[in-house]
Amino acid sequence: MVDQLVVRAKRHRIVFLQANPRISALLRHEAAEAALAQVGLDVAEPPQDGRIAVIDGFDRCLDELDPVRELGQRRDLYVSWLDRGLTGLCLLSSAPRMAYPPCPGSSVLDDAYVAHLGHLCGELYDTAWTEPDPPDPDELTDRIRHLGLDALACLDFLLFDLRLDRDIPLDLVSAREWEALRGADLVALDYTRGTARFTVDPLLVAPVIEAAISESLGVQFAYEPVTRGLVEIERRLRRALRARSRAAHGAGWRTQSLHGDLAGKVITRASQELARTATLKSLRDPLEYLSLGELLEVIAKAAWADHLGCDPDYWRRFAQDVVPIRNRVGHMRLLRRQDEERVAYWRMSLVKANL
Amino acid sequence: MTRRDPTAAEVLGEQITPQGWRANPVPAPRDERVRRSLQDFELRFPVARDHRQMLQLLGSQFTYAAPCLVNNARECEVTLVRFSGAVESAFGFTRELLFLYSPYPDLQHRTFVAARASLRHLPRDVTPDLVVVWSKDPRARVKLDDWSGTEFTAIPLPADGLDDPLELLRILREYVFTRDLYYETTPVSGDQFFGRRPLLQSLRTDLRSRRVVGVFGLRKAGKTSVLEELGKTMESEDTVYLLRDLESLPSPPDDPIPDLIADLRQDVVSRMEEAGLSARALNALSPAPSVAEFRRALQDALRELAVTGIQLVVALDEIEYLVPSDRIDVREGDMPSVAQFLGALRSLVQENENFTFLISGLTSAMIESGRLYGRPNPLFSWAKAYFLSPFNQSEADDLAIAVGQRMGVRLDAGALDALYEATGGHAFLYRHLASAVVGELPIDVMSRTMLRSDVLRSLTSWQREIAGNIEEMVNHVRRYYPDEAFLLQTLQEDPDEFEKLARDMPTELSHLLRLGLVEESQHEFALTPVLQLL
Repeated sequence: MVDQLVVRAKRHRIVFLQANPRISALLRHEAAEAALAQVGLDVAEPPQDGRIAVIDGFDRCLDELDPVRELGQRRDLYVSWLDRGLTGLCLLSSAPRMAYPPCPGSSVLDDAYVAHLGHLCGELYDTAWTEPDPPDPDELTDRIRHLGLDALACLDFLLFDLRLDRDIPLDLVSAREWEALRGADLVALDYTRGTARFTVDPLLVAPVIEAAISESLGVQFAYEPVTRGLVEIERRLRRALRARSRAAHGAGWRTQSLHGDLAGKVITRASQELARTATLKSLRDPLEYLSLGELLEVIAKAAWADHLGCDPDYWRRFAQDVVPIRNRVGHMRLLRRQDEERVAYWRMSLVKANL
Repeated sequence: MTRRDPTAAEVLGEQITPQGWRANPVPAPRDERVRRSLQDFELRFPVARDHRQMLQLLGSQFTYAAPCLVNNARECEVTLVRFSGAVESAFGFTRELLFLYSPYPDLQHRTFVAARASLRHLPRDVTPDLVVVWSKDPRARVKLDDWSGTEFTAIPLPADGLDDPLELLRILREYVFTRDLYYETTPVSGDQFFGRRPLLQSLRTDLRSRRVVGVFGLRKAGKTSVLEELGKTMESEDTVYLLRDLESLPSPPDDPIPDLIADLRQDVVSRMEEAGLSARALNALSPAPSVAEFRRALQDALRELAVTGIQLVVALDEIEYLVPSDRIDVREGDMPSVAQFLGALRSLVQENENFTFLISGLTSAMIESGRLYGRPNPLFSWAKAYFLSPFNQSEADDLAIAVGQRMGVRLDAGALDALYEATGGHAFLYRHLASAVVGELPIDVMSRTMLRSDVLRSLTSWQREIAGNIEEMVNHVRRYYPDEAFLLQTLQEDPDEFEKLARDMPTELSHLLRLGLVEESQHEFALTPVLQLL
């Protein structure tokens, strides 16, 4: 394994290696000491003896006040080491690449070649692997917590939402997510069949994931752009509905916009929130007391709303994509990896529909 | 004698004979001084006489010998070998190869370092990334293998001489053919830089005419390589070219400008002092100058440079570190110092005949947005934008052929087409795929050819390997070009709708075309091959 790591590092110059128990055991082997110079993050000079530099604990960059700047400075430093004759270096990180914040420009994480056990020890060592014994609970907890919230969200989706632990179609999850789970030695990928399976008994993994998610107080990087996008989307819908309602009902738009039990819901919510007896007429904008689902109901059912000029199928697709994300944000649950992309898409779609 | 390629049998690694490799031979040196130095060298290293005879049987010659000039290795001898045309052709050598002879019984890392450093002390340019080392140390091979990398490889010669001339070729084959020179993930320049000639020429012309330019392109499209190569070709006695990568600056909402000013000040001062100038005003600046103070000091420095006829060009790379549009509102966010700093640079360009600057990054919004951090954008409609499109096929072919040659790999036309079709000419992906294919080629033959079928065989596993990188490249586009990302997604999901939208979004469509994400053929738009991998 060490030989192959050296070959990869020499060939690709920068290798990213996600630490897991099997990797750690292999790196503790005496052969590793001869070929690899393990250096900490605080070391400013490359090894001078021709050995490959292994940056142990690279994930400590994430603890810095400004991890983006830290990654930029690391890139600067390591490229200068390579320019000065270092034959290769390996970033050894307990966290997967997807746990790091996106860098505005180039990133040492994207410069790096991602090595895994299949590369280093042969494909069978990777694809046919199943942990023979139950993992040490503390070690498993540590491994899963290092994955970061985005990969935890993926595990949550697979194990709790879909209840899949074997024959998981590879296209259910993005390449970076598989990279993270595979790097943590939790899944094995079978490209021939196009499926993945857990290598650790899911009955053991599930409670650890549950605890890691429940106890985490962190916020995913995507929360800010997703929330900002959702705010704009809902405000655009309300603005468009208000304009149509005004056009249809004139000055009485506040009392005539809502049908069925929605008017009652708005009055109840407004009264509770404002601590007074509210009426539709007295509210600046009754539509602001409707949830996204209820707004979509108005768009679909109110004749005056006329689907806001779009095809009903457009709103069906919109609801399918956006409402689950809105619910995740509403309940402060973990976001899924594609949520940011979907919200950005629908925000722009509404702009282009002049809403 | 005409140049001759190895025969089919030689290509297959069978029945190779020294005679075949003697084609287009190199004549023995005639210069008396060279002959004498070679004789002295053979006296000091008798094994070299045996090597010379083997080389001659291959139509090759020692052409130079001198003691090593590098400290700690002065007992070593440096020689140059020019190989016959046949050998050069098979191994892709275009220049002489350095052979270093070490008298020490224990080969040490410093001798390896000296071998590399010796390349700088030679009377002419030689092969820059390969040397051949002879040492008495029985562990020389293990050591040199350990110390060598792709960037620089030392090939060990056996301590007790060569059995026959073909053994030398087998040794060369073992090292030259197992290198992977396609894979490059950090910026390249010099021998490793390919294509972009018209772009470089336009940039040089613009900068010499004191135009401010922006170079924009996808992640890993080769922007930094272009900037480095530009520096190499512009830097001269009358031009100081400063390339500053902004990636190590604090990221907004922390203000990056004070650090940037400090770095630029230090860089300009050191370059001026190298030129024998005082840089008094910059040296006299307070430790944390304001943008206005820096502007005044740089103004003085430019006047001092102008007296000696020196032009200053500042290239700011990774400009997104000043405007990370995913995190704060670039148009209205609270970071007035960025607009102020760029405004100061602009006024310096306007006021001085010997200064200009260049910015580079992913997003052209930096010069296309009317406002920047709540102020009028000083670069709006003023700087000239260049987009770094993927390589055209001829540039890509040049890269593949020239780099392949240095590993003894030839590419047939089908392989070149397949590499291009699969990657759309995106620099990083093209090199990455070529690297994956070359890794599968046999090394136990004397000539290697990459065929279309080799490329196609490697495609599936390469696509798996690269999927995460492509995903990240596209995510980056989404962060910095939200409107363009919307168009892309529409093209993916509803091409008819795309046609309608594209008419209303000409600027965005132009960005997608120029970034090489969408291609147009007979008025039809399609995702480029890179995106089809998603």
